[in-house]
Amino acid sequence: MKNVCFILLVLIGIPVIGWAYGNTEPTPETNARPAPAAGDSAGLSSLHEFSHMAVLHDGRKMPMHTYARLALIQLSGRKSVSGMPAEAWMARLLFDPSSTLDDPVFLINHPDVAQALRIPVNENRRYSFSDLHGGMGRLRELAERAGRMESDRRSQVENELIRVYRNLTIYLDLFYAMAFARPHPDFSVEHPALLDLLQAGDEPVMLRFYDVAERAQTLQPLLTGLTTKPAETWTEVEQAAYQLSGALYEWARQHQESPLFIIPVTHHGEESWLSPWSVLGMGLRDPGAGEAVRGLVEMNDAYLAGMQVDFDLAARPFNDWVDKQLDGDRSMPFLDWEITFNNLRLFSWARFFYGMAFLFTFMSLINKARWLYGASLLLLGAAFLAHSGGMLMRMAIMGRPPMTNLYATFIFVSWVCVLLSFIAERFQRNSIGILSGSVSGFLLLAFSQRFYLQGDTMGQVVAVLDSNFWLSTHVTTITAGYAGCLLAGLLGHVYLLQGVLAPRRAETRKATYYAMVGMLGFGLTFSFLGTMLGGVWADQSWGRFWGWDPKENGALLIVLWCSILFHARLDSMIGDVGMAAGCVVGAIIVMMAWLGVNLLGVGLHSYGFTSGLAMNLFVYSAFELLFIAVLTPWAYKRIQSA
Amino acid sequence: MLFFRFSLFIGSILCCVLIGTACRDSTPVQRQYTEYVLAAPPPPEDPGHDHPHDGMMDASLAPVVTSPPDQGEAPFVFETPEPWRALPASGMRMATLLIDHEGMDPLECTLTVLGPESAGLEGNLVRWMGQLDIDPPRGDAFQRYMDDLERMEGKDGLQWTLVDFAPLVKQDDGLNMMVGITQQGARVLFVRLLGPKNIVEGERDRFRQLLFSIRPS
Amino acid sequence: MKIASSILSFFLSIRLTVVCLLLLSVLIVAGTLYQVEYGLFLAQKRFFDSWLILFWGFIPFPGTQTVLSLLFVNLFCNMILRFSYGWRQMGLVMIHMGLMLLLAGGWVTRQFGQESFLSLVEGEGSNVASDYREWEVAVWKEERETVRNVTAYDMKNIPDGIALPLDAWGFDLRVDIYHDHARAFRSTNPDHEPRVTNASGITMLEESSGGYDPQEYTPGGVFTLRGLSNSEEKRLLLFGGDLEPTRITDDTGTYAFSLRRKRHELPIFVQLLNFEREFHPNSDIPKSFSSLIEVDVQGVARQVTVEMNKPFRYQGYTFYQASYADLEQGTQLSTFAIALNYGRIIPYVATAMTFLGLAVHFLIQLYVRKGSRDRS
Repeated sequence: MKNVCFILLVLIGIPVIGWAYGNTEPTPETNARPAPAAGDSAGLSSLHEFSHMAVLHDGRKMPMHTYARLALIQLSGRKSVSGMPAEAWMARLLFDPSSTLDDPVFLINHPDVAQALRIPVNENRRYSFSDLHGGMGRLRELAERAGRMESDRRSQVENELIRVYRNLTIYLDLFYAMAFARPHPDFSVEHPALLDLLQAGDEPVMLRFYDVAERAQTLQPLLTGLTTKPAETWTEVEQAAYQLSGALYEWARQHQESPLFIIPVTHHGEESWLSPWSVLGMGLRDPGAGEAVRGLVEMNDAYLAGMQVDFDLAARPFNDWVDKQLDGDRSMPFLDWEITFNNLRLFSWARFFYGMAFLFTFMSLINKARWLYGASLLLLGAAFLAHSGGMLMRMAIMGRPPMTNLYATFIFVSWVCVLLSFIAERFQRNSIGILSGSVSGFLLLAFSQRFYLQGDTMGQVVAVLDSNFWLSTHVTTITAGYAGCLLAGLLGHVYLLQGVLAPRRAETRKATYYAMVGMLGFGLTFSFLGTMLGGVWADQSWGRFWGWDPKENGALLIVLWCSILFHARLDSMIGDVGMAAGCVVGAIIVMMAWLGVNLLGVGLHSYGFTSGLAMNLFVYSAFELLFIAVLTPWAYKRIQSA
Repeated sequence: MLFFRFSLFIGSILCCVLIGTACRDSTPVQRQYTEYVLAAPPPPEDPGHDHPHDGMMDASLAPVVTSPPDQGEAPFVFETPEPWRALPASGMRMATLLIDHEGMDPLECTLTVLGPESAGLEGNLVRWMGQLDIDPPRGDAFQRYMDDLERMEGKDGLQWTLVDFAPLVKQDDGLNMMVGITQQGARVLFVRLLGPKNIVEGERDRFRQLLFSIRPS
Repeated sequence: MKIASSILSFFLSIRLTVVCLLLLSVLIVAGTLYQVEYGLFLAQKRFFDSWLILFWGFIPFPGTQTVLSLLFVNLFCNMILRFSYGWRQMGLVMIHMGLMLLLAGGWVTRQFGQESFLSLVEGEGSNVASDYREWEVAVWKEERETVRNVTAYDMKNIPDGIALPLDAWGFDLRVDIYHDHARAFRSTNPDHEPRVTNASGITMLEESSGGYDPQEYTPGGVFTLRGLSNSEEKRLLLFGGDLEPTRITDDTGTYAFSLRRKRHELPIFVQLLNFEREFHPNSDIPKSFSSLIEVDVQGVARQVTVEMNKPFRYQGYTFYQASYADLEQGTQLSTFAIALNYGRIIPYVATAMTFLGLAVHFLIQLYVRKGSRDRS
């Protein structure tokens, strides 16, 4: 019987884990395009230099590698499209945009939206620009109308419309971000005199915006007299020149808000980042920036021709120039680290190993083979290593303790949970530690993904939170407190299950009980310290120790609940089973204090709002309460009769 | 036991003290202190900050006008029609009259005096229509609309152009605006009432009464 | 005596502790949810600073102050009568002493703390800060431009008809009407004879209900002034929104009357020299703001920078950079939040003590349990 269970577990478990790992990784799309042929404009073999380009986005300098990921995640929710990783797609979008028209990058979740736009509905919910083309006008109209409504009156469909419209705008902005580097009919020159003036050879040619902009001075003498001359008397050359300069002006005006900030300049000691269009708009006055833009044009040419060497030859001096502009700015070497970090996907590996560790420890609980125990311990260790590595890299890249947003707190809480579980295992050596570690590590890391999809998780911090010392002490201790209480809750589940399934094994149950109470004690200690440090921080910064802010209240509630449990136990108001149930309730309270307060949207702590979270919290709480309601009396009865 | 009684005694004293501090004193408390005041220096004159006037300025909020009217004395006087109420002047606004209606915030009728360049009727009409989300009539129809606007004369001979957008407001519960414009020398006076269509309708007579009573001071 | 011992056992019981903690939890949840709709000030007033709450107008429930007081008494009795003080209980003892200290510190802050604010335009200076919610009627004789000897009355719970004597000048100021929040009106009828004197030309006040937070109220009142040298009786209308004080002149000089936010004297004179603000590159996210002020302590001046997270402290007062505003003329206004709290240090000590107590206690437990397991 045991062996059957064992085999079943392996057969079911491994694919499940594999799915959980794979779900967040690039998967080849079912309607993937065939891979581009060698020498095709749509591909260079190495995008190393391209990935290293620095981009200023949301107040932070990041490598193109990350920027591409963020852009693609925002549009499609995935880090790759049609088998291409994000940076490859971004290179195509910037240098050869017409080749991306069929890439399914626009995620439209709600099928009604596609219907509203009267475009054919796609099963995997991702649409290309060509798909959307037919419904563009309608999208704009509907989105503008939805935008005028008050935000809390909008339906899901309306929010989705606005989101898709915004994504379309982003796509188009990037589509044209390097348009100056490619020839365009608006800049075709035929008249020999004009060709001569612009030094464009003898044959009629289609020039680039950049070419004309570079030589705009030569057109000046032709154009100055035109304001006084009546239009009918203009010569052909003058007409052509006027048209050309008009196109120049229109393009410059249209693209001034281009969002690709890749060219840093320093003005009066203040650093600011410009898009290539801004540099062109200023008339290429700054020689360094002008050179940089020329570099970009060369990169575009090389990309379109599929010439790897030429591309790198243009890109490397560009990157070096940017580096020199920032003159040893702290953030520059970290671009490399960030790329490595992105590529290592340490947290995905950690999730995978946590899942495997859980599987093995579960099997070892049934089978009791020593090697299974050893294997589960090793797997947990591997997971913890990957997890720690990821955390440390993030800290190094950001230069501050990793606690500035919700995503980061999840990473840290799960890390503390696993650490505590190791300690518990060290004391008890009965697999309970490994079990709780693997479950908490896996669940919390998996849940953190939803916050990753919200945008840059290493973004800049508002002035109010910008204080390294308090950030490291207060947030660290309080999240450690959350971890302790969550683990206690997890062990509470284990205790109740043990009470129901194996009521006679009093010793194992007692061991679980002690671990649970130990975790609760840890949770209480650090939650208390964290809450009080929060007060100290507030006192130091704003003049009041306690302000009844929802997050402060939530943390206090955790401390109070833990105290209630301990005091109730003291007076024998509740027994072991009651304590276990109380710990599970404690876990609910932690989730409410951690996430629920952000939903209230008031006070200083509302920096992590997400929709759909309310539903998740509700379902979670309902499940836990049901669990307690059913298992507590049952466990109690079973234990009494055993 | 002795200890208990002792603590109870101390406790009750404490309670009395606490209650005592919480009690309010009935005589007002006088304080005296010395206040030192250092006023900020006046902001520097900035001649180069004349905003380019583009004719699309909102008359009742105009921040800068190239030839501002006399700010010392109110250039016009008027009589507030009962039961409207008058509020003090502020900045460009000569007066604000409040009209109370049950169950809602009071309506405001504003009187604003500006320089002659704000007098362009077409520009003002287009702008106000935009504010009410009305499509302006196109081409000739607009000219006819302007020609058809009501004109009236005030008590002292002031010539008024009256605009009432009610016929153009599509929704029944939409916003409407009534505006009276007059010019006296270099001063242009705008009298504007904005509110829900039916309520503004109800105040029409008083609005005209107000316009009638306005005379230069 | 049975009654006495049952009262005592009531205050000693752990059940009371558990019940009080549960009540406190309920209060916190209710107060937090209430805050979403009604704002912090009201939530604090109804749930956290109160002794008794009436849910739906008639169901009584103890307020936070009651529960905390009960907890304090409960803890106090237990510490005196029940606690054992052996080395094994050291952790517990420290925890609970720390908690008592925390509760005591909270009380001290409540009773003796004071919060005010000071808004200065670049170049401006002052030695008094304004209260957030309370108002005063301030009177001074205009003699010198930079120094005023002010006599002020707190306008709190002032009944109509009460007298505010100004003995220094032999005046008698009587409150005819006073509203905590009012709207002001001015008649523009030139023939209207004003019966009251007011700096902004206001002729009438109307009582109005303010919002949820008294910070947003603008009070107004009408007062009768007697005792002028020409034996005239003047009626003054003072409004919280007046930009200038109302001035009355008689043979002895000019006197200024102002209804303004209550002023708290600061131990130093503060002048704002410059305000700076910095954003993260290419974004609207503010990176830092700071004010350079000059403080004058009994004739000795020094310059200090006050920025977010780096307040300026002096003699129990702490000056925080709270906010700023860009004014029309291109200058900037910097607002400081000023907190006076003599008991500031108590929560720090209490926290340290309680945390150490917790750590010590659980380590002791671990040691004891390990010991007993080793032996078994």
